[in-house]
Amino acid sequence: MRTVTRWHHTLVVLVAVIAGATMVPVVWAAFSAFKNDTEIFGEPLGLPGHWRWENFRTVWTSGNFSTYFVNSAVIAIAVTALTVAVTCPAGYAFGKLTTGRSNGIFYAYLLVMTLPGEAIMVPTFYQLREMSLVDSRVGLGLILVAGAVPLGVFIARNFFRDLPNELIESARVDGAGDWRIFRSVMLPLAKPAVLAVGVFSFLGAWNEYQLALLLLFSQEKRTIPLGLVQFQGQYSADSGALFAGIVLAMIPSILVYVVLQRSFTRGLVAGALR
Amino acid sequence: MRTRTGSSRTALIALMLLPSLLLLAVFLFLPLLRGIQLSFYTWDGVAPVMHRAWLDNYARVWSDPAFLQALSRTVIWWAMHLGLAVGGGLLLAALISEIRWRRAQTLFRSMVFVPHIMSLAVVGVIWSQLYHPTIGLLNGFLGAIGLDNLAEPWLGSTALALPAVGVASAWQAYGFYLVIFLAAIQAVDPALHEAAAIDGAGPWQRFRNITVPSLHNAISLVVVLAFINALKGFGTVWSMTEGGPDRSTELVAVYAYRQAFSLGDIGTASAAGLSIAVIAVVITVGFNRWRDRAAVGR
Repeated sequence: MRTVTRWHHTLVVLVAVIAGATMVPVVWAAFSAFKNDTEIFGEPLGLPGHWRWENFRTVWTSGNFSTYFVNSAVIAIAVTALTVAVTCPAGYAFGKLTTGRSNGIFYAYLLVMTLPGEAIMVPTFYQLREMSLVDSRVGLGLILVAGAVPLGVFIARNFFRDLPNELIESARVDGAGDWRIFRSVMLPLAKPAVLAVGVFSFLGAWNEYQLALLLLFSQEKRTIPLGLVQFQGQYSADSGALFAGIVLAMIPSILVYVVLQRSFTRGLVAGALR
Repeated sequence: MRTRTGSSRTALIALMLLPSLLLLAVFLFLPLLRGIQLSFYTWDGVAPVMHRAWLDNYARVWSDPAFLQALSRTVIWWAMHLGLAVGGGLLLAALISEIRWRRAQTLFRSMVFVPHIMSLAVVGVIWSQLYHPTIGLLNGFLGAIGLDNLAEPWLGSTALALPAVGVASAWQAYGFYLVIFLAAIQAVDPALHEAAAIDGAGPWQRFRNITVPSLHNAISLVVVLAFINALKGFGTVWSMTEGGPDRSTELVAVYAYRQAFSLGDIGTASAAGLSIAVIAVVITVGFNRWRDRAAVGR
């Protein structure tokens, strides 16, 4: 019995060390955001002795992060709303309204997930240029929604499929049509699915880097990830400000993750294991 | 009456599916078709006319040493991803599942998952700073424990840059695989482990003989996911090294990007991209077939 407990304690310590080590780069970046270059080098993992908030002022104003932050926020919120609006009806149609015949269309959605977007970056640029959607935040937003559609439809379809059919039947007895049933009976029950789709589409849009790199070139249209990498190239002399930029880019992702962690993990595991 | 509700239901289904189908068609399917078309033409991206080149672009790409090197780097990248991110995720998931305190399990899982919710650009910038020759944490740490001689300009070295970027990428990804593995491990009947423990099986034997076999589905799924994810190295590489130094971190996607936007050769860029898309689809489909057949055979 004692050896079992000792093994368990060793195990907890071992896992704690690995998990802690995984967090080191994040913690280091967060502390460094409040230091100057000498302090970053001299006391890398120490708490900042003097909290230099001016690093944030530097990135926010002279680093243009105020613009980047607003662009990212507007795009991420719009993408989230649109993704939910597009995938919930489609998921319901696949989950409750169609029969085996339409499975082919559904599997086409899944097949799209396996297509590596990196493989068609170059043609994507020229296709969007032809539609006048390059250097456009609308164009970036739309392609991000399209990218979130397959997993979103998958999550919504699985959720609606598992809701009991009795709800539909009793609503039908009361004289409700298919759309009314979806809108007033089923959708209000779908909060977990909406949250799961919302969280992953928000994070995907907020974090997106390479499509922004491909499609946006005006300074005033850049998103945070794009602006951050560019800032790294320009301000190599002011690391504290760069780390402040990293923190600004991380905060919304971490907030969303911490608040909605359960929906996020549920969507992720559902997407991967079903 | 019946036909009317039937046809109105069909119309409703069509309306509910239409927006998502339209988005996929315009933003994923059209670019794919455009890529196939462009891969058959010689074009600099600017000129009003394109010249038909048939399969010349594919022939040029597949005989270009730079492409073949990028391809072999992509294979190395995939192997690193599989070993570090998938292997590390599996091992740590097995360890975490042995912890008997539920709260601690959840806490450790959440901590390890944090890198996965960050932008690849943020990951790239953090790790570029971490590897920084003078202010970087890594060289600072090596100096602090008296191993100054191991300090390197990590991203400035053609030999070390690819593994260094690969480690950053694995750091970002391994929590994702861990969450999937942990969910699968927790779905395994605990009675199996108890029975084996009573028979005197140690932790490693139980991991090897119970956990791994019962994770058959999760592991084969993750291998496919990892293969697809590994092709997505572009964001991490571009934000850390832009493919350098001296092309030493140039994966296929980076090769295609440079071919198009630095060299103005849209045809070969498209041909290179489509080549890896075809390889990816063939391997994914082939692997699934093989898995299904293996599952039927058992």
